[in-house]
Amino acid sequence: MIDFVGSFGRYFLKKLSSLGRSTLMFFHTVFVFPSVKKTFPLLVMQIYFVGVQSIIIIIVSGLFIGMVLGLQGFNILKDFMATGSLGSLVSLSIIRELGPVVTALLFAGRAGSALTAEIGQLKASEQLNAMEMMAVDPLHRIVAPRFWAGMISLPILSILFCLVGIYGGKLVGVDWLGLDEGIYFSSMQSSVELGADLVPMLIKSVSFGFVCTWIALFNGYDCKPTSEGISRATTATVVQSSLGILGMDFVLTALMF
Amino acid sequence: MKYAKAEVLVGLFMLLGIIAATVLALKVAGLVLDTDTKNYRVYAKFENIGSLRVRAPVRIGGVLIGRVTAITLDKETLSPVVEIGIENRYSTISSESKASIQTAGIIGEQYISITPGFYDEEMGTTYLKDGDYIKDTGSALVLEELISKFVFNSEQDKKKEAEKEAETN
Amino acid sequence: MNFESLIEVKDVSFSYLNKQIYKNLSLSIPKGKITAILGPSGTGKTTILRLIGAQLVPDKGEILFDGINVHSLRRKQLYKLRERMSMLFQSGALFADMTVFENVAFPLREHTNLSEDLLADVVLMNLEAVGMRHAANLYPSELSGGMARRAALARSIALDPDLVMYDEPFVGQDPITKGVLVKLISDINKSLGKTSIVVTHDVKEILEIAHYVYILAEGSVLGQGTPEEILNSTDPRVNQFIRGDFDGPYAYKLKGEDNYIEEL
Repeated sequence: MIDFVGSFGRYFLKKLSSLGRSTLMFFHTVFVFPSVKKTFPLLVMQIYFVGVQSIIIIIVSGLFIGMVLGLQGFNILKDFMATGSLGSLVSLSIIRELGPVVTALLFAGRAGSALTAEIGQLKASEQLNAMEMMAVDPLHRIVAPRFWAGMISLPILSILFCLVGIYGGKLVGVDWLGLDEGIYFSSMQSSVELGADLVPMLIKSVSFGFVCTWIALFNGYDCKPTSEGISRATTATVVQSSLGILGMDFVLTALMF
Repeated sequence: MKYAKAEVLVGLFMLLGIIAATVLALKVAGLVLDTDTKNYRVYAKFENIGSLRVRAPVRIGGVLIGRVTAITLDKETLSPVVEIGIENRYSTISSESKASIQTAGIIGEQYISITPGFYDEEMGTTYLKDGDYIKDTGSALVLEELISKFVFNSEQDKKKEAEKEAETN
Repeated sequence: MNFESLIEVKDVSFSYLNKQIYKNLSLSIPKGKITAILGPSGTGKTTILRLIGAQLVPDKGEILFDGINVHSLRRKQLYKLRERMSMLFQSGALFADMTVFENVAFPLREHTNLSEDLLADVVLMNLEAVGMRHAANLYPSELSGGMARRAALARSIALDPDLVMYDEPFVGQDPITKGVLVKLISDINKSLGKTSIVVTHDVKEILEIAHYVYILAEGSVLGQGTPEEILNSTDPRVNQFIRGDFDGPYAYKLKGEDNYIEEL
């Protein structure tokens, strides 16, 4: 029994200390303003890796999710003779929930795991150490550009996802099942509001961007520098970010809607 | 060069994001900057527009001829005024036409149906043009009113029947 | 010891994962000389380099670099100080996504504002010094282990540091590459006057070029002196390590309960 309590305590202390390390790491990364000239090209490269290369998966998933919503929504609303509300059904569910959440989940799988693996690899091959000994802080040079790239890319990807999803719904509802385009968009416009729906969506996706990117970077930076350590860290990234995103989504939804 | 390509693509990515955000705000949230000039506008006053919405379709005999562009309230009479944008190619609609608000299905979307009136120059009728009012209008059927009317009528009928019976007896 | 020292390790104790690695260790590294740190595997020879570079913090004691306690510095000052030291890692630790040229140019780009022309000159000069100018446009994955180490050496001297630390430079190299590296280390010390610390267990190679030798074992200094003094030492433990004897004061058998017969 004492053993059990002891091991629980040790586990708790371990988690606490890793939380502490990640916070320290965060402050060293974010509250530094290195020269723009040197950092900007690095940031551009990272937005390319993190954002641009995720576009395809985001657009394709957005399209399919929108189409499925259109199809399911139409069939259900038909029973109530209320297919006119398809637009608001599709747009609200995508903008309020599916857009930011699914984008963030895909982002965690696509970009987050890659970030963890990359940084873990840099650590395992002593490249981070070498950089440190060359008086270049890896937190500024490696971690910071990736962090900001994630924070910038995820909201943009979410917006793209929402737009593509809504047009996917239109594709099915209007072009295939014959709902009037005006009704689709008018019911959407009368229910979606800039301040009540679009701004909260942006707030959500920025928060998810923070959670995803940070978890990925910290796991990579803090992993055991072996191949097993890297694979564990990559798994941890995907699991922790997914849970983090879903939990945070509930809190944010409760606060904002 | 690898870097230059990435730079261009990132630029495109940002641009795409901005465009998507704008489209989302305009088209989906309905911040309409309507620049469509191929319409002419006519107005119609109703007693009650039910749940008619902006951008709802306007039809003649089921054919789409335009859309509701704005819904306002007349300042003096406090009755709803609907602004209708009709495509320019439908320019021969008589001023004696009737506009009524109808419902697609029982609880479906509401739209405006226009029943064309007669056209006779000697009688002083004209074609509708920009800024005209449609005088003859039929308000939306509000379900609750219909039901209460029906219930009220049937009660009256029962009373009448009862009176008749009393008379015959 | 009557020489001017660049680094003073004073009374340092350090433990990692509940294992005591150093106990009251004291060293001093002479300026402008090659100091060899020898010792059997697992005595934490690399750790001493990381302590000097302040990547690790000792539990007790202090390390002075040119009179400055490296562990008392704030982050910014520490990075300033690190510009004066450099380290050659066991694997070379070249940046895998850059060519050899870019690797060597990296510290220069980060810490100086040289024009592109001047930068190219400096980089090629450094690469020439290690005989790697022809490999400037190769990627690290295309290099052999020895070439990677030479390229990393060019990178570590690019910023003209006061101190170069070599972490096991000879491990896994063929005799010719070993010879090349020995010569390079000696040349860099002689012609550029850089203080060098070489951590290794290749006794023969390092005794040829070292000016001063420390032998570490069990967390403290086992023996020290010039190579001659070490070779003529009478301490049996030092002798065992230098000659590579199979058995001696350091037992071949791992210590444990001796029930070998019973196990059979």
